[in-house]
Amino acid sequence: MPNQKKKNGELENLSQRLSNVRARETKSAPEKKVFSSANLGWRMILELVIGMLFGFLLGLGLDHVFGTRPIFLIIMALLGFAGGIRAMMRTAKELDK
Amino acid sequence: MATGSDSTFDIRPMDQFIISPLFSEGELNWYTFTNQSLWMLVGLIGIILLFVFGIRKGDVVPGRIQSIAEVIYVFVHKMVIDIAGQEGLKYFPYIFTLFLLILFGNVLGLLPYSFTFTSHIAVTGILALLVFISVTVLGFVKNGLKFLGLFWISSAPLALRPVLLIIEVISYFVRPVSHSIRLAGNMMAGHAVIKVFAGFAGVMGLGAIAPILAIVAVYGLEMLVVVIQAYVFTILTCVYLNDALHPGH
Repeated sequence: MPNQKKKNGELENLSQRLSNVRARETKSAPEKKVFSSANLGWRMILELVIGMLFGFLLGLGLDHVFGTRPIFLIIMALLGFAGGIRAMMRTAKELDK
Repeated sequence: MATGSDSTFDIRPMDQFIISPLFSEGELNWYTFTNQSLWMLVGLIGIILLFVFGIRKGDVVPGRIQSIAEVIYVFVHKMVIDIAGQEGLKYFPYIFTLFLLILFGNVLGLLPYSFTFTSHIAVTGILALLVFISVTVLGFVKNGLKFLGLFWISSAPLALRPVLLIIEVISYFVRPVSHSIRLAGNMMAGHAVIKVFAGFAGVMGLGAIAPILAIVAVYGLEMLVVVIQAYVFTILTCVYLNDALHPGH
């Protein structure tokens, strides 16, 4: 069956070529571009603001419990700001991964 | 339209987000069938139609509907592998379900007279909380107490560690909040903007052509935003999942 053999050879050839093309495509896929920088920017802003709000509310709650009005509010608002920046930096780190 | 110009300028862009019962009057209970339930049901039916009936034939060379389903499937599948690695593939069904629910909710919300259930923080908040809780539990199950090392930075001086602990915990809890607010905020903002322009068109008489053109433009933008937000929600789920599977990276 020379015909059959020839067909098999052609098929192998084709699958070889296909896998070559696939490898090339997966290598050059612009994955990072889809994850656009505008989205990352919005994400970082949101995280910063929410971190601050989070700390602020946490401080307000602690003050309500302990009856020490401005102390925890100030401390936790600052810590919340730091937490927001921490979350933001973690997001920024994803960019160069 | 010309008669609208002498009426009072009365735009209520947020009225479209009111949840109202469809078949009954008065207060809402957990079993009340509202416009929100209706559109969740429509989304569910859409997903079933696409993924159960669309690919039932299982052709080797897919038809139109089947290739839509396959493209979505392969897209999410690839995203999970790219971000969370092969181990993350175990949780693919959940991530795929999330993506489909949000995608259908967002896209159906763009139909006129429809209701966008993803514009409510109550909905996106629950979705984000589910992701947050399950990812946290998963982190503890997979890594044991080592997962706490995420908060207790051993490379810092001992005196600083309690402060850093609070900062790290806050930054950890920021994630579900930003996760949910982004989706709901984007949906709500886009729909409200369209409604505001529509309100302008109602009182401008012949000049209404300008806001109508603006609506067309914003609608086109919304088509983009709607899909991107579903994508972003899903990709963030993958990122959090990856953090739980491989802490310290």
